Amino acid sequence: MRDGAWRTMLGLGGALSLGVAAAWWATAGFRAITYDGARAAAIAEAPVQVPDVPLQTANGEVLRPFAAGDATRDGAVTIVDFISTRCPTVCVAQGEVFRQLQDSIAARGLTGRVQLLSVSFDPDDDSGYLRGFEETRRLQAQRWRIARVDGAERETLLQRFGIVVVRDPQGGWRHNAALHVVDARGALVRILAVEEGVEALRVATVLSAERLVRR
Amino acid sequence: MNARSLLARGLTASGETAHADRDGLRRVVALSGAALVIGMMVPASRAMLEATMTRHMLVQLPLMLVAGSAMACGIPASVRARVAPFNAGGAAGMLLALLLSACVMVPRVLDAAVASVSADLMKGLCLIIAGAALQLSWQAAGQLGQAFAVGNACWMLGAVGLMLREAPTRICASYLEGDQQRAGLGLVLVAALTGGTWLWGIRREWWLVMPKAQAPENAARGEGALLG
Repeated sequence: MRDGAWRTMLGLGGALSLGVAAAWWATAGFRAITYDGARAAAIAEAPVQVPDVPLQTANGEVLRPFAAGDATRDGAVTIVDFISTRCPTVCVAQGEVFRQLQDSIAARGLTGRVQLLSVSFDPDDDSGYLRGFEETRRLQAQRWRIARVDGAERETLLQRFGIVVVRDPQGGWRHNAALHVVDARGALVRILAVEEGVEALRVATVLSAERLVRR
Repeated sequence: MNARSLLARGLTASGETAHADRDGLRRVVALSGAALVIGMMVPASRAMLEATMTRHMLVQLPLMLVAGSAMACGIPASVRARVAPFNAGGAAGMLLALLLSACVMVPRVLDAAVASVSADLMKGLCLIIAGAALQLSWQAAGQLGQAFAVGNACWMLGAVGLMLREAPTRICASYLEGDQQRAGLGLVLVAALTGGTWLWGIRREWWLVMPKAQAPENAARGEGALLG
């Protein structure tokens, strides 16, 4: 009888251990229950280097914003978001956050130290759409750029940032929106929710100040 | 869930069928389970079953569980006898099945399964083990244990379903809102259907689950019946 109870307890203990192990796997080490949560937690713990892919602006200029120590960036910290210029929902919210951040960067004298970059993942976004976005959102080129990424580099970039793009039935795109802070050496160091614009700017400011001190 | 429980009951119940026939049937069921798993892991069917959250959660996940149960039918009696002492009253198996099936409903797991084959295999393994654990435990659990498991599964499915249905944003990066809401509604319906079917199944023996408190001799007899 006592022997039986011992085995039952062992069985229950085994089941519980296996269940807890599965939960650990499912939640990426008890860190998150969503893909986005896990992605943000992983990046905060271990930043990843963003591949140095070329991006095209509306006027055909090629940006390489993720090259370590790239001249076009002057060692600035970049807050990156991913958009489609015709996405009616979450991209509008992102655009509004970026517009406010652009104002804050100007007001706090952070121009050249912190910059904003909207990357269009939409293959249909041609120069005309990018220019339209620049005009309606009143982008100030020294603070906020928009560029698109093409072909195989698009997949590489989206994958490294952890962006999942889904086609919706209306023919548009949906994606997991967020604010991505990339330091001056092209490392993705933080991922924040769209509504955490203030925090993103704080992180970027601190990073850019660290850069200045190191100089 | 109901199909599985019926399957589990039907195949473990000592019916009038001859031993050899039953062993043959068990083997066929186990092989069908394995075939179902392989069929679902073929890239084309995997893409089809995971194209929407509704299919993913309401078709693929339950089928994997059923396949796991079916495969467990092939476990020989000698192995069952050796496992049984560790699974008294089916408690360990039921616990394992509940925990593992809860894990695969974590939104991150659904996204990871869509994005990577290895995560999908891990998810499938969880469900196969859960299904097998249920098959090995269902009979042993008795009606009280079954009531506990079904009740837990119902609230879990219902809660996940309502969460998906009411969430103001997309929970999974791979799926759209409308799909998420349909999947949520589907889970709530599955919860209701599971509970309803189980209650219907025990409609003649409901008093076994709830022994009468005011009649000690009845209660004692009821408990004896449950444990025996």
